[in-house]
Amino acid sequence: MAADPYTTLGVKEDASQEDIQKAYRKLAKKLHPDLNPGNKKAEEQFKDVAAAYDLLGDADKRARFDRGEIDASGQERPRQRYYRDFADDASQYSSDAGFADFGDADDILSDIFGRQGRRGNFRMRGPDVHYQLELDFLDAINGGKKQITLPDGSMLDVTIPPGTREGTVLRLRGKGRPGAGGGPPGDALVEIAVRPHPVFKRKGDDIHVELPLPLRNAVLGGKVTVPTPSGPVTMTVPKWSTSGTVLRLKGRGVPRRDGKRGDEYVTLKVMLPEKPDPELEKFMAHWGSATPTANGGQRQAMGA
Amino acid sequence: MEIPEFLLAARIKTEALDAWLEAGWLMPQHNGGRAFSEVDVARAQLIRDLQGMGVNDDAMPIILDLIDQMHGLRRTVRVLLSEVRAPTG
Repeated sequence: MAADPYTTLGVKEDASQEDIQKAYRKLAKKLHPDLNPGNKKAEEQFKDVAAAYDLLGDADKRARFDRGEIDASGQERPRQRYYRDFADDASQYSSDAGFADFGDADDILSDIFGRQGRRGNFRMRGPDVHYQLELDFLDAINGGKKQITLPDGSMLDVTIPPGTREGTVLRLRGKGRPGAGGGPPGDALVEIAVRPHPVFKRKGDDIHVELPLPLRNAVLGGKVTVPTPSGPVTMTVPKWSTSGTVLRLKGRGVPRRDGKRGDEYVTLKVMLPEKPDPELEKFMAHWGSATPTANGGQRQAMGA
Repeated sequence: MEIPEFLLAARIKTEALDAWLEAGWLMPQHNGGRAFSEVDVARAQLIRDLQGMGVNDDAMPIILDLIDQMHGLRRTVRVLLSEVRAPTG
């Protein structure tokens, strides 16, 4: 520090100790690196201010300086590192209290904290607790909110993301047991089980469904209504659709994380009318004798 | 580091150290015995600077906690920015 300490602090040479202290405090509040972690310029200035105050803040030292016994240089105190220099390392002082309420984003943020390895004997994170939740097939596909009743009678809200799979473990930050010594609470881990559906089968992100198709639609084609997880839709069946034909309904499957959806695959199953139809029987008797070898090739291949 | 070395590095007296430990302002890690690290030194210097600025004992824990929160936020912003800047994932 080459500059005159009085100038650095902005005080007159006959200023009282009290005024010097006041001037220092005013500057220090503005310039201290730990209070201005983003301001690199402040650090240099603070160093000068601190050195000047080291000299003038002490009445004895100030008197010796005024008498010329010591000079302003050589009074710089070697400062190792500021507290902010440790801000990027996880330590026992690390705190996520500034954003612990961010909800979904908290998952990402907590991961960042977790990845950098929070240690600490004084602040102990509380233990996790495990729960199981059985969902209806469609609730798992479409997502929604569920509640778990905890052993102590309180309710825990669980948000089911759309497309949740069997065996998925949902992590609810901070819903576990309380931490020790001001440490954060643990998480609640909810394992999801999904009940089967009478109509829909899930394979990955696709839905498979077997659709009974009236004989008339199978022969002539036409529009039919098909159930999907998000509600019934209309599908066009081409004429001459036989049993086992698979049609794809694009984007009618399971919602994915990227906002897209899997597909629904519809397997047709041709059905005769429920009650015997004399007219149809009569027609068949005539039609069958006219084409006795219908599909003969396929049947032969099976050895029938 | 051991206590004598820490007192020297942080430029504080034993009484101050005892009081700050008591108040929970300093929380050295247990490592077999009580071990002070560089972060404790820096924090002690910060506490000393804050006292020099006129921060009293009641206000100190509030300020320390807010600074720790600010560091947590800064760290998080930094990580998020680096993730955002990364070309893919």
